[in-house]
Amino acid sequence: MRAGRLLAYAAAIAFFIVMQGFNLARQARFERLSGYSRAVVEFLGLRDAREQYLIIYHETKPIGYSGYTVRSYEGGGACAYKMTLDGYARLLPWLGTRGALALRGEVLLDALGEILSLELALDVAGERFELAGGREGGEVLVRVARGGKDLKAAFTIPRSLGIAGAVLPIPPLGDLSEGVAREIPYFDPLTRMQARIGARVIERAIMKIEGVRMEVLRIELTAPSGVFIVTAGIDGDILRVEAPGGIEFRQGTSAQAHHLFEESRKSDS
Amino acid sequence: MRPLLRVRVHMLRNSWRNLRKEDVLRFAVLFLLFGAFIAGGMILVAAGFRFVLKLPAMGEILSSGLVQFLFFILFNFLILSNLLVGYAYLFRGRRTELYFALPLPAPRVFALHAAEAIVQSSWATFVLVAAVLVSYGASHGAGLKYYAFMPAVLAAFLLLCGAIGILGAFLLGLLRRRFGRKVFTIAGAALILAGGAYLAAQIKELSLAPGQEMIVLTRLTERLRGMSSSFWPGKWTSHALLAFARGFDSEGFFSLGLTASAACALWPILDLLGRHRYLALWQDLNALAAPARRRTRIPPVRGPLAGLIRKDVLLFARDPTQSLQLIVFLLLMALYTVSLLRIPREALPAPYGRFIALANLTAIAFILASFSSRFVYPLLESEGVSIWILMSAPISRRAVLAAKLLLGFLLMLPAAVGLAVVSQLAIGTEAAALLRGMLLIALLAAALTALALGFSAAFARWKSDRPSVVLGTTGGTANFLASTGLVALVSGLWVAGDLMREHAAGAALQAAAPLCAGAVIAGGLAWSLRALTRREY
Repeated sequence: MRAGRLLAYAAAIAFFIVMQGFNLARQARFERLSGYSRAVVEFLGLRDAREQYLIIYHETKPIGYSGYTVRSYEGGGACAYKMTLDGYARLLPWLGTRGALALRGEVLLDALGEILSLELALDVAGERFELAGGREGGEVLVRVARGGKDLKAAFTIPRSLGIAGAVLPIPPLGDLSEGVAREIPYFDPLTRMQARIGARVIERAIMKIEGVRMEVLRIELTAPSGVFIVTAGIDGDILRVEAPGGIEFRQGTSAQAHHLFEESRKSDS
Repeated sequence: MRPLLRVRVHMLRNSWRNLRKEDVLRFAVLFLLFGAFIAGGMILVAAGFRFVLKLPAMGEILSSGLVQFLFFILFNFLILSNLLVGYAYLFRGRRTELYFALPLPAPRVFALHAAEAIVQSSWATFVLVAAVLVSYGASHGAGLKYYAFMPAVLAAFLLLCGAIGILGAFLLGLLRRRFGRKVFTIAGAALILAGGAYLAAQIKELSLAPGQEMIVLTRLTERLRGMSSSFWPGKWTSHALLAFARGFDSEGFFSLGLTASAACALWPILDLLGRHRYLALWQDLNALAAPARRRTRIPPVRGPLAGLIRKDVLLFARDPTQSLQLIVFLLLMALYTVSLLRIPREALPAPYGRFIALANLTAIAFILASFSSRFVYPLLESEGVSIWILMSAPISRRAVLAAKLLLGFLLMLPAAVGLAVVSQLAIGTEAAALLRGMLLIALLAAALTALALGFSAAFARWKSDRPSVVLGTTGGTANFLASTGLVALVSGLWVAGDLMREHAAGAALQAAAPLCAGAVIAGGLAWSLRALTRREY
């Protein structure tokens, strides 16, 4: 009787220790993640998928969109997240040249938010480039093709690079608060190069959005293409981006973006 | 343990078998009314969640934050509730004395009381929070698994709060034994005041300019996110529910496991305390509670009425489930008044002031309805099995009723008038309106007291002397529903009259409100006297 009771005590305490041990290990694992990976995990939260689409305006006229969707991947293996990049922008108002720029593709990430493989299609002023890559050794080897023809121009990128938006290089911005500054190395598919983006929370401000006053974070984003001022909700949901040259990005949805530009994309291709 | 539980099961079965036809009808009516209340509440909660979800950029974070906030509040209040009820059951209950007179080992008595205290403190929370969580699931499109596991998550949470509360009750007993009553009372009051001051400071810090209510919610949510770390039990429960609602079953099971493991880890501690410390502590506390020799003489009283009131006041003050909860209730009232100070009157259009004043009176009336149900209704029925002593004593039943009524007024009127005056001053009501409002509230408080006594006299079963048990009886429930109905009627008449004051009907409606309260006072008193006289004891 007494032995049974002691055994039951031990079992109860062991259950507690094991569960709390797992909890501690999970927290420690999360703390060890890079800023980018934590942002991805926080951005997705307890969801199967979450998208971040921004419609691009030039002086109130929509000229394109930039978006991505992060999905938790349950296909087994090392892959934990699937990121779908999707972007389209008319170049004339922006860069002064005719034509459009479009990007579509998928990037698979592991549980640490590091790149496992990528497959992207980039259309620049009527020309199509295909980027495909996977883990090779400790890094990611990317091969470039033009119109289906291998250009023999392979290059490697570190697998820990972040993946930002398609047209605008904004990575997921979860887990940010006032005063936080974060530097994220990322892979820019447009230049096919590794670049760095700096995000610094300037202030918490109160803004009226869709008739509701809410608290937002104003973030200064320093990218190779310029300095952007991002307005985001406190959970990192991007609401507006002010870019140089009268360009503004406003929050939208994939449905809105595709409705606005699907015809243009088809005619361009 | 098993024989004790068997006794309880047999008692329940006998109560069921002894139900009369009118009891069944009463239960059916109450069940329907409760069902209607809960269904209405669920529809409102679901609509609220849907509204929040539609808010741009912060809908999801806010809806999750609200669930976290709910469990943060519940965690604290359930621990407090379990602590008070547990202390009363373990150390102050008359039944404990009876059990110890039987050949029952102390650990069995401890286990039974602990289980009873947890069930008593948690069943209502289980029912009401389950209703809220069903609404949450409906508004978030949760799958069947959510509804299947939600009761288990809630039960694990309630069990954890209960175990912590019982442990707290034991510590309270140890402190009571170590320190004298005065130190104990002063320390308890200081702790409660500190808690109240902390809450008031939080509200003051959160208050912002007009039109920024959503920002208050966001900041509150964020503040709570900071507090609810991954090692906070409230977070485990809310996380488990969110995970099940969104189909992340493994996450849900993990968080459920964390809660259950914490409750399990407390069990050996409680069991050891029950085995090795409970009996000695109970004996010491009962020895401490016994009157000192110099005070054993019967104090002189001027007549039976004064004697009865003195007895009831002493019993009320000595019962921590009554006196401490009264302090908590009064603190909540103070908090309500402080929150009114934050209403930006200058920024609101003029008519809003009138609406706020009317809403304030309605809120006070509903607060008083729950106050009378909690503190006035048990005054008579908690005489329990000793009622025959009172009723066979050479005291008229009118005097018994008058004593209870005076004590009821003593509890209700200062609270009602104080709250009415201070809250109306806080929102800047003009003198004439303040006086009218105060008189209406005072009249309503008297009506609620009379109604509570009426229900208590008519429905009391005199089976228990514990207010927490008495409140859950048919009479207690019926009184609460009737009090709410009375408040709705009187407030409705008053508000409608005020809104239509340009018309002749407005004045008539406003006059009807105090008349209605007056009629309930007269009717309630007559009913209680008649019921008390006709019953056998």
